[in-house]
Amino acid sequence: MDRVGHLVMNQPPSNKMTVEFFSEMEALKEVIVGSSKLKAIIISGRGRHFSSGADLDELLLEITHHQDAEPFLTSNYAAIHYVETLPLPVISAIRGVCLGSALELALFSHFRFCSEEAVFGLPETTFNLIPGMGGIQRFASLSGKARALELILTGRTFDAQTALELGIVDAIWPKKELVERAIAFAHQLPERYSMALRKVYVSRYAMRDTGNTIRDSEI
Amino acid sequence: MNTKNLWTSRQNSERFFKMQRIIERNDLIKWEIKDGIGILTISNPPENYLYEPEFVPLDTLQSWTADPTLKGILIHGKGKHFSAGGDLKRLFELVSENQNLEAKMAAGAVVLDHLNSTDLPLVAAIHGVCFGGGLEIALSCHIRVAAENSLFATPETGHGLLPGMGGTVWLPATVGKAHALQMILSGDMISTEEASMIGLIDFIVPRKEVFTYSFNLLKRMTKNLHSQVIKSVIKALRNTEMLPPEQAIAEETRIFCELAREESFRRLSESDT
Repeated sequence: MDRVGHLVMNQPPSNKMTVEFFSEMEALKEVIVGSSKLKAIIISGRGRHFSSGADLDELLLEITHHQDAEPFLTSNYAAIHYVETLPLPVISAIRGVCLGSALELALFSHFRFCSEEAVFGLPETTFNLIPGMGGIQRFASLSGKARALELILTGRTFDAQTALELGIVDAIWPKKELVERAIAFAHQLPERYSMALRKVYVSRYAMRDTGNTIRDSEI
Repeated sequence: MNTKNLWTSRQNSERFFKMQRIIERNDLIKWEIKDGIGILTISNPPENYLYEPEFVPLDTLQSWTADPTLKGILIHGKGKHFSAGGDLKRLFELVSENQNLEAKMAAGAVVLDHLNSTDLPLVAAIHGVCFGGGLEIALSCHIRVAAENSLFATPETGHGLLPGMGGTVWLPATVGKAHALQMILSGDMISTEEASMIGLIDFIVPRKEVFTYSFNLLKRMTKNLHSQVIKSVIKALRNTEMLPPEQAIAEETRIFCELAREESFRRLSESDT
């Protein structure tokens, strides 16, 4: 299946998002933007899980060692947020656990499909933290304020069926077929989908950001 | 009796009535704190009409919510209903008494703003009727739990008015423009099921369990958390509504750093001991 890019989080078993992960993600941006032949990107985790999220010990260490930790975190945010702005469909194929920052990454993709045994959660508050990379915003816009608040404050995990009901995932597929079906899904998207997606993205987010209208020719 | 005396006696009687009203008003909203959850009871049964747009005096509310151990606020109605909203008779009285209605309405909105500015999770436990100003109070909460067989409406337009305490802003933000317009213009009542379908309420529970469910929900959400973490989440959530996305994210990052620093100090001091 050429023309579909596979972005695999490759630090099994938990595929923790380390400092190294974020810098590799950042470096990948150029590669992805540069490959004009890509039709879609599928994000998945190697092995049993999508990812358990950020490496908390490492993260706290980095933050205490930085005089000014905000630029550090902002660059982490930028390193995963760009997938949302790509002019091609980005699909997260989620097996196993998908927690914290990993769920935030998944929320930046345009489509999320998961297997029946997938487990989701934003457990940050149980570590006296909050979801810090757009999770609150994206979760609330999909599930509504009430459920977002409930799940973020309790920090409890929830299953695939609940994720579907909340609108956090778009479909549940059998584990063994998950990636193949995600690829098939990408292929059945119309050729002009990317262009349309770009426009939808621009109208949903960019215009709200700047208050300016971006003309078609600029897209 | 000279005119001066007449004047003072009138003043006195006005003062007397004013005092009586303040006493009445204070009785209309009750407050208690149980297990760190503040319980605000609209207590003017049976309909639980709101005496004035400023349904509880701001300074009273401020003193109630100043308790630093507070982790959440539950709002409910005493008796059969949540609240039928503003007392129209009283409202038109205010107008005929030449009182500044606009200032009164604004004061009502300030009370709701104050509840939001506590950065605590707000849950409305709704049963029976939830109309007009009552619905606006519920809309200012983060979570609305409703009993089966509750009724919701914004009947203001039927009296030549409109929802004036933020309802025209918060209703469309919650249920979308189309449903909000339909509710506001028609003034029609909708059932719990319909309210749930359009996203006006978040949880449906049997009538007898509304209060307990809401109370336990708040407890479940807050029991293991420092108030600073709770307030940070609420603040971040509000930012997503009030600020442009990029600014909201920047704020989220800033708050995260603040908490992360404290958490690492906490871990360090724990490992030292």
